[in-house]
Amino acid sequence: MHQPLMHEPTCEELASRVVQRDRTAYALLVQRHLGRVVTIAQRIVLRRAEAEDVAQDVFIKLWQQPQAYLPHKAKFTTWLYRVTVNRALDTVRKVRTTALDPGFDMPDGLPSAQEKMESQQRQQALARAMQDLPPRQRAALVLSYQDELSDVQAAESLGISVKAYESLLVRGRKALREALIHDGL
Amino acid sequence: MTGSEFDRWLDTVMRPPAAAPSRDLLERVLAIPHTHVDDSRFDFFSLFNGWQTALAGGAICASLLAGLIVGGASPTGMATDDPLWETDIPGLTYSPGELEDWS
Repeated sequence: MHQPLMHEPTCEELASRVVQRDRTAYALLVQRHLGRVVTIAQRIVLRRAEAEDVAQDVFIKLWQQPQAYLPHKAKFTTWLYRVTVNRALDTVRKVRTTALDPGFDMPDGLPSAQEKMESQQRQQALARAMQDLPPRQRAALVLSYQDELSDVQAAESLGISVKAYESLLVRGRKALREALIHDGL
Repeated sequence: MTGSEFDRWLDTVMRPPAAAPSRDLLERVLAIPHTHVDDSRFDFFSLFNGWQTALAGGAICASLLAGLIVGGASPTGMATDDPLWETDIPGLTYSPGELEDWS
């Protein structure tokens, strides 16, 4: 029988309870992180259906091998996003994406139809440019926009040094900008 | 688009989360504890106590050793004086002349 926690449990506490096969703790982790896991996966694999498969695999791993997360080594989110990125990169290697669906949202408050159309065109161009990026540059860019991840955590999620991560970011942003300029946007 | 404009635009596009997970995905993921068994690898030896494993291992080694000793006693590796090698089982072996009955 698991003792109820009196405070809002941290993800690390919940993960340790998953090791003890606590389904409630597992469900709480799903509710906290499923959306972010899908977002990261979708922007790496660039397709919604495949991103959902990646997310499902990530949570299967969490349930089946929770002991793979070592709390003394990293935050839970760092480990979770690392599993997500690795699984998404595996998918990118296996599947050639056709229809792009990167899951970018249109910025709010665009007044005219003309601006909305331009924004949509840019997003399509961005999706194409993202597809042409080397997968690790793509993953670095995606992680850099996750608010809860510091540079150190993002680098750990990719399994590389902070310097290598920053280098991937610089090259990725440069390649994206050049691709968009090339598309006349 | 200048560099800083591009960075600002990229930020507005990349920072927000993608659309919320579908109900179907949420249900599938929440059902994982019920639909997926633990990923423990099958360990044959865990089925037995230590003494049972040792006994079975000893028996296997002894039988292999016995086979080597008996096999080593004949140059062909087979005991030719074995009754089964003789022709007392019709059709099992053929002595000269016997084959003609069949042809």
